[in-house]
Amino acid sequence: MSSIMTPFANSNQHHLRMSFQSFLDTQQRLHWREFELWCGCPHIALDAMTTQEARQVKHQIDSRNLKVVSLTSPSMGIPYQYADTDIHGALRYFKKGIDLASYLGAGICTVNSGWGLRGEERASAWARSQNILGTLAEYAHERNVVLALESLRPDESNLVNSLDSAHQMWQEVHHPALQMMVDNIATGAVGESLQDWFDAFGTALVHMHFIDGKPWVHQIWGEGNTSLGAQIDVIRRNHYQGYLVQEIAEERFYDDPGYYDRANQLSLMPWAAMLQSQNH
Amino acid sequence: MVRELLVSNSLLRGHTLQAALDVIASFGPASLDFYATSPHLSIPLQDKPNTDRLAEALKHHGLTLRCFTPATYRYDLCYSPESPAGRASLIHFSRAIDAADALNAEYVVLIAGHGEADIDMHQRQQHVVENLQRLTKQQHHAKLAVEIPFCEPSENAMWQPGFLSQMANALPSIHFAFNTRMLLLSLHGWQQWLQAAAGRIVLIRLADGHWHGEKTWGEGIVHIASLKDILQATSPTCWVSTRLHADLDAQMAEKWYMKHLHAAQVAMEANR
Repeated sequence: MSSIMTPFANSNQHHLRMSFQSFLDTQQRLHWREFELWCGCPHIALDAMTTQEARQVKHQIDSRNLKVVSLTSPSMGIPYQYADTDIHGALRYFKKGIDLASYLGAGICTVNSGWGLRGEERASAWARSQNILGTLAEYAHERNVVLALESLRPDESNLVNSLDSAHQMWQEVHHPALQMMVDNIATGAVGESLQDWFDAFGTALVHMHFIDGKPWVHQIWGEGNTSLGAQIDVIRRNHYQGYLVQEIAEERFYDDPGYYDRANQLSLMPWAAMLQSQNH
Repeated sequence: MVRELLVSNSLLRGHTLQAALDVIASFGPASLDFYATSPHLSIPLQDKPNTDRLAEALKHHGLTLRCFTPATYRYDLCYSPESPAGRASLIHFSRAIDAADALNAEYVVLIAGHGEADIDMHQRQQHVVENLQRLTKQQHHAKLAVEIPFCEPSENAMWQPGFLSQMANALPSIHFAFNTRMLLLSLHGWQQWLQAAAGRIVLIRLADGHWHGEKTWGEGIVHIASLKDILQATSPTCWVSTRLHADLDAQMAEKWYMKHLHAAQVAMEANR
């Protein structure tokens, strides 16, 4: 069942100064049904999560008739990343995220390449990332979950930080459960367009962090310099069927996230109606 | 005992442990405010082989670990200990205390946050006390200190000198750490904070900046004169730390360190 906002899905990440209950109540009030679940504290303590806690999370979401469409296991500012030197620990942690996605009925887990460390060869970090992503793709495949690989900005990673490096990792892992996604802040930061990514990946492009920016910050629509109409046009022309997640993550949103959700919703609502009529 | 300057690895968290310690050791024999974060030491992996490896690396570089500050990873003392995030936070901080013990740190500094803003302020304050009571029950050698976070200029902020006084009374074994940016931008004035900490301040962290975040030393509101005043108001055994949260390349990190070390040395000299 879709909602008035489909295919725009929200995110709980910018509600990180509020309780999870407060986030869910806000989404219910705004009739914004679908969201990407960011599994960071205080909402989700993924690393220590028990089965009972996962059940509670599912109940909280289901009882409000909300839906998790994708899931992000945080990999920045936490002890694990996708090119971790502690491969065992990283796999254990990210598998928990895949398990939770599967349990909640979310078909997609967002992933990135992680990053190498200063003082080591890039090739070593690349090999670790490829190994971890390949292992996770197999694990996800067995649970009907697809991993969507996003690029990071060059200041965040020396591994997958461009279309070319994303394409290389995608080809080298070469697994049906590793598909691609655009984060249009990361792609915009290196001057790549949405059409570039559609041309490179076609139907393997299954997910998006679709936000406004200048282009370095994750802003709500109308605050950056991205043309929403032009972006939607690209999406329509390429018959994209995935979700457009609002991963707005600027610190000033954190104290009153519901206000910014509403402002963003007002910008997106007419486009949601248009995209829905086109898809049906 | 005299006031001691602690160098931190926090600016070099994008480096391998070896590379980070090489940079720090190049300043000469130093005492460390060790920031426990991956890849230098991951708290979930603080088992004996890992802490032994770190101890060996510190010894090899001639570095003495005084203070152990675990990265918070959004874990917080302000969450209800009965909530999933609170339970996970207690596990994290408890492991950090174990690691600090294994490394013979004198203090473990737990950086506090603000909790969930939609939860009543007094309830969050109560959670802090409850969580610390649980952590102090754990058998450990390292003494516990809480670093008071940067506070918004609001009368409703949960971190206030009044609450700190209550904490100091309720938790006699707890010590405190502050950063200079927080102290100088506080609505309450830095003197009130130091007074509320009741002489139990173990560490002053050098941080410059303004309302929007930390900046390089000299680009914010903290001047050496203010730092001298703050140090004058603390005990002569209170450490000064260069801990800052950034991922810099070695050259840039060295510049940051030099600015901070110089400022700290000038201020400390004035207080001898």
